[in-house]
Amino acid sequence: MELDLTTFLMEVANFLILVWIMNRLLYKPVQAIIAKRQAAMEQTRSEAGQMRAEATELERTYQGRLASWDEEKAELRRQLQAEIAIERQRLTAVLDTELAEMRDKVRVTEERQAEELVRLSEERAITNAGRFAARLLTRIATPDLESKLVEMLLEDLHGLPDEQLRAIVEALGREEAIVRVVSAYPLTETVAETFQERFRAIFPAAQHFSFTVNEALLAGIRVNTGPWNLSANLKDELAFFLGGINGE
Amino acid sequence: MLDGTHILFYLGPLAISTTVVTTWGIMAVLVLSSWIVIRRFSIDAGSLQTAVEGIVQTIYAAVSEVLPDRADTVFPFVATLWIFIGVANLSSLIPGVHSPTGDLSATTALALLVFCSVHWFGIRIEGVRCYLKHYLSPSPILLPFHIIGEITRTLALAVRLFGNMMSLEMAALLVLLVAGLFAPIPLLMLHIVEALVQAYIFGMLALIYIAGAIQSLESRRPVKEEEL
Repeated sequence: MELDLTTFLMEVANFLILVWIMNRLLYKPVQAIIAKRQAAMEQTRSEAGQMRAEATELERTYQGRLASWDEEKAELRRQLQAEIAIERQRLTAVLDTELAEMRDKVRVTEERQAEELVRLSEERAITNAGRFAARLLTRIATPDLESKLVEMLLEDLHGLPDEQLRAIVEALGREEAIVRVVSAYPLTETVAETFQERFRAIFPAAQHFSFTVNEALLAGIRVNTGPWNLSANLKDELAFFLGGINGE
Repeated sequence: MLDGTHILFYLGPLAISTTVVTTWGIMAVLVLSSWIVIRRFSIDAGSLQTAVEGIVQTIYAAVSEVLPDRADTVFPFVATLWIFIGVANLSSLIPGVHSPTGDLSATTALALLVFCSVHWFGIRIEGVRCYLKHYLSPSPILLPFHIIGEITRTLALAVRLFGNMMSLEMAALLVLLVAGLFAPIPLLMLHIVEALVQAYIFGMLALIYIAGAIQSLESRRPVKEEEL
């Protein structure tokens, strides 16, 4: 336990040297690497902060775009709804028009069908009526009825208009003009002569007469004077009746 | 010698003792290990680098806590004190090696360095005149007490470290002589703890002395308008 001056001085020198070496070799490099790491961390933190700021800005921009998109979408939806409403109104109007036209067509068709049905019913009724009348007249057709029809024809001839009378007289004035008389029942000579006399009384130009029988006439006669047919028989009357109703 | 040191060889007129040689060995170990570790330093620290950085940062944090504004100036000196004394105290665990801190010459040298460093840092910061003024405050009557305080605390530093480490080695020697190999491990544990505690005490006292000198100067410095 004594103080050695050499050791004392050497220890002082050694320690000072050690301080210098350790400061150069250990402390400064360690502090430098720590400072470098902290700088890197700061840089990373700064970059992270910058990235966060950019992300926040991007998010804000994105939110803004979303908001503008929503507004644009809402505006487009409003426009679309307005266009849809207009188109709906137009289509509804067109549809109403088409429906009205179709309704008119249906109504016209129904009316035509009804008219056709009425017409067919009338035709059927007329046919039935004609058939009934023909059957009835067939049963009541007798020579007496025929005589009455001859009488009726002769009376009607007096009532013909002058123009018709002149046309018949003109037709009878031709050479070899024959008055063809067709009856349902054979006419007796007396009846035939009486008819000729009274006919000549109306048409003096009638010279030649021919009398034939046609049972299809049912009763009555038909007088043919060239282009003219003077009928007073049930068949022609029935035909006239049916044709008149049918508009023929 | 009582402290187990003796002269190994002569380097010219200088007698090189075991304390000096052990100190050189410790210096070599510290320098080599620092150089090897520093070579592999990178941003992505491994386990060894993390440990070294942890030690350095812990010391720096302790210095910064006491001297926040002067940490960079004082840190190399205090850190070297802690590391060197810690390693030197632990070196006696190696069979045949005597700790340099078990030599009064070495501890006196360290205490003298602490004494000088206090004045060095004080003068470096405020200048000679301002620094010497603080021995006259609050009253010139206290100057002798200041001087006595400086001498006694330096002496206490040297003797405390020397006494603790020498007594620790002697106690270990006595226990080994009495108990043989039956109780070496607890003793070694006690030795490790004592070695680290003594290193911490020496370094912390040096830091407090330096900080006391610097802060007493700064507390007397007039407040400038810019600082207001």
